[in-house]
Amino acid sequence: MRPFVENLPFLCIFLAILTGIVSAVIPRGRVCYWMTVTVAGIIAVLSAVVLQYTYGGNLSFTYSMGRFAAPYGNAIQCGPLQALLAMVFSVVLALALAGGKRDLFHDVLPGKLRLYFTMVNLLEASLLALVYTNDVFTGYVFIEISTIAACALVMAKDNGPNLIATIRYLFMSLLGSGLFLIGLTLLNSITGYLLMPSLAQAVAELAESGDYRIPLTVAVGLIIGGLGIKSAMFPFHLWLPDAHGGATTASSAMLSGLVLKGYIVLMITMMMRVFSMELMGELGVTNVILAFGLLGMILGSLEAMREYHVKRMLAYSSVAQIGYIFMGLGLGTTAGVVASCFHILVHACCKPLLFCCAGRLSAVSGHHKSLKNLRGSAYRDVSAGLGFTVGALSMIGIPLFGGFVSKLYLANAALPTNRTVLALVTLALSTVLNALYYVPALLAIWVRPPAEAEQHVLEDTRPEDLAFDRSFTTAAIALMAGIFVLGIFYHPITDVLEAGIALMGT
Amino acid sequence: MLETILQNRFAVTAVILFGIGFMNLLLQQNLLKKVVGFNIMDSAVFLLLASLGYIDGGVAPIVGDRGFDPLYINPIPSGLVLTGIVVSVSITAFSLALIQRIYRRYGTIELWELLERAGKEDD
Amino acid sequence: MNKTPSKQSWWLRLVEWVDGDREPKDQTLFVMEQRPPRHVQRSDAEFATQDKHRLHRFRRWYPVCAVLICLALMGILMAAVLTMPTFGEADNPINNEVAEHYLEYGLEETGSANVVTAMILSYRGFDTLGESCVLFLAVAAVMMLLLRDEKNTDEHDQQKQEREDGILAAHPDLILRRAAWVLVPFVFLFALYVLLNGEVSPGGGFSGGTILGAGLILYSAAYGPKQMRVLMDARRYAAVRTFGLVLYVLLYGIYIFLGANQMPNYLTGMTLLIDLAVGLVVACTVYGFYVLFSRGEF
Repeated sequence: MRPFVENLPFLCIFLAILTGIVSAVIPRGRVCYWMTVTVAGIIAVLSAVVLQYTYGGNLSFTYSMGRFAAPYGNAIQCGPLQALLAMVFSVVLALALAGGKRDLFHDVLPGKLRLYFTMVNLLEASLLALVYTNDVFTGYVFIEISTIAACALVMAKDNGPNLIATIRYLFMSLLGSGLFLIGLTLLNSITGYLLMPSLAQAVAELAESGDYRIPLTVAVGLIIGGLGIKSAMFPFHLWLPDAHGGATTASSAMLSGLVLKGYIVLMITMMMRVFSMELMGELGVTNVILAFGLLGMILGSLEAMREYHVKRMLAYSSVAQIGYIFMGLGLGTTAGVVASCFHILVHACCKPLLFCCAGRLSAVSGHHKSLKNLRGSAYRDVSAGLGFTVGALSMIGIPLFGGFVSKLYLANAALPTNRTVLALVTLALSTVLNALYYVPALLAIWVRPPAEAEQHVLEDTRPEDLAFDRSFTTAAIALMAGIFVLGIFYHPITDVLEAGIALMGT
Repeated sequence: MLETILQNRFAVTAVILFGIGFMNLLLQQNLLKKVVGFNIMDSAVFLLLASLGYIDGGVAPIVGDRGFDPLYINPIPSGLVLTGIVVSVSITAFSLALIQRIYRRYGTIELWELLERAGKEDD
Repeated sequence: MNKTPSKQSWWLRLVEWVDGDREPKDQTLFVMEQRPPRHVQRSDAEFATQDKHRLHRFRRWYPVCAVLICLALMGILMAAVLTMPTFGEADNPINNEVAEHYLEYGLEETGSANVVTAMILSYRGFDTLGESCVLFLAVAAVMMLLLRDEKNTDEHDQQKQEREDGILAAHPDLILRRAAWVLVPFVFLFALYVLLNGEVSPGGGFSGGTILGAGLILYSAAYGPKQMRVLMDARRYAAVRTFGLVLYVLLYGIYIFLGANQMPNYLTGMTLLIDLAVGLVVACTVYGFYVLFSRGEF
């Protein structure tokens, strides 16, 4: 008889799925909203319990999904890292929904809100499953769920450019999951397993004996490449700005903050649990990831500098931030992975905050999105202005904010490797570039324009948009608190991450 | 070389089909043809997957009292293909619905034209 | 674009830019921003210069890159495929103890003679659950797009639909109706047979559900939406769809819970019920796609 707490991860996934199905038949959008937020909160609490159990006992348990043990049936694996990620993801999901609530009810037709919340809940289920999964094919199925749900979130606003952005996103995602599936097929043909522990053993044997070298290399490349396309690794990011920049606020926040991370977490799981870092280094895959990561850090920021549409600017900034994560993975050391995981957490707090604040700032400026029209908007909703400032400063990497710590850890991880100079120079350059587009944005929102210039913006603004937005303010404060917690009390968190990553390979 | 190709004929066919589908997905500007390309690509993956499980002289894996013990093919790839097909059907339906809406909105499904027009509406 | 702007203007532009006047490179755009937004109708010519330039450059290089990427990928895959285990050999790595276990103990452990069914519903049932969720999501996404509402339907569409319905009602297709009258019961019967025999023969929830859905489509096509609404209206459709998947999720959840905690298996006849639930989900998906694509309403 296993302790009851070990059932919780599976219950969380099923709870999210059930909520998703049920919300498809609830006609009132508001009920669906509260149900979704409540369920996300419940999942966060349950995950916290699991975190306490796994971190306290320093253990990582396998939970067979059904009657049949390891190589025969499905299984999920849960350790401190997975529990922490699940907790943060569901909290951020709830906060992103709360932060974009008003925009959401404005942008989506009332009759279709229930379908929107179906998507959100199943997205949450797929994120949890991607985090917990111990089976590569389950990973594939939930990648597809997450693809459909994410595309539906993009198109929920339902205007022309949005539909086009969605179809581009869909095609790019299909390409990614197609490559992932074919990589999986190759891997299965040379090992015969789908469950990660058995797969890892078979892969290790193959790596040692040198049999099937080419299929193994190709399979690793395709799986990493497929996941890379889906998580907007640098040269495959072209779909991202339109999709994330054009969607409704809550969708952008969830897509940038969470969906991309789901795929990256699966990639980390594959790297740590199946292929092992040594093999990845031997096959040269880590170098490729590092190169793409570094390129993304620079070129994503450069693209962001050219943007004047605030949400698209944030979307390009996501490309750069994803580059940071890939850089950490590409270093090929455990310290690098810890830094990447920390950056995942930081970015999962920062980007939703920035998107929600940008959405709110544009709402108080007559739903204009270009920075020119947002001038002085921070005074119309001070909490949004403060939130944007905190998020931007964290992105730049000012001490006391979360972004600083993750950059510190990334730099620290780069020191013992033989790519120190390259990594550090890119990190510094990217920080300067970040400052070069976030500081003007901050100045734009905080500097009052001349009255006559503000006039035409205010004419477009509806009075109900200017009214105090309670759910947004709550969400912004919570996310800001999250950034400060990550920036100041980072030691316990990195301890959890280190313990989780150490337990992952077993 | 030729012998290997002949032995792995299904896998080689699958790769060629995959290439055709991939090329269509990337190069066609008509969205509908892109979807067709994607379907070809998926079929290629399914062909590869299904061919993995086959064993020469094997029969369908339905066990029962036949009085003898035949050689069964491997059931795992068949099950995976089933999952894959269902996913592919769902995604095809979704993209077709998107294309229908795009056509109603813009009156065209050529991607270049759409991209040119979409830029004009972005505010 | 001016390549050598005078130093002072460059400096001024930088100062302006740092001040928050983020001036896009293209001056035309900048001018447009000054006008009251929302109502702006930027002239086509201005767009043509800016956008087309970018697109053209992209357009010139894109096919070349695409072909190169594709050929490279094909080459890589071909290399992988040619060194893969040989087709059809019994001692390939994929035919390992997992497959043997399924074949040997599948009937005993799951009660289903069709090993593929045993695998997708019992051994790897969580994947199949995910798959059913994909179907459910796909219908929800298509509904989001095509279900009639004020955004995607205008007067014209409405009238056209009514006209078509009127014509259909006035001139029913006799051959189709008679054929459907004969065929539909048998289609349903066959669907039921396939659905219930998934454990011992090729079939099961997915194939049976598809046949069931096809029967519904045939009925709907022959007798028109009005008659169909008697059998299945929007409310009933939603109820059946939700019921199928909820039944599946609950049953499978209990099954996992019991199995993982090593409790005795109370759900011996579960495979049949799950097959039925999957069948309902699939039938509703197939029929839902038909209805949404053809009419946009139930």
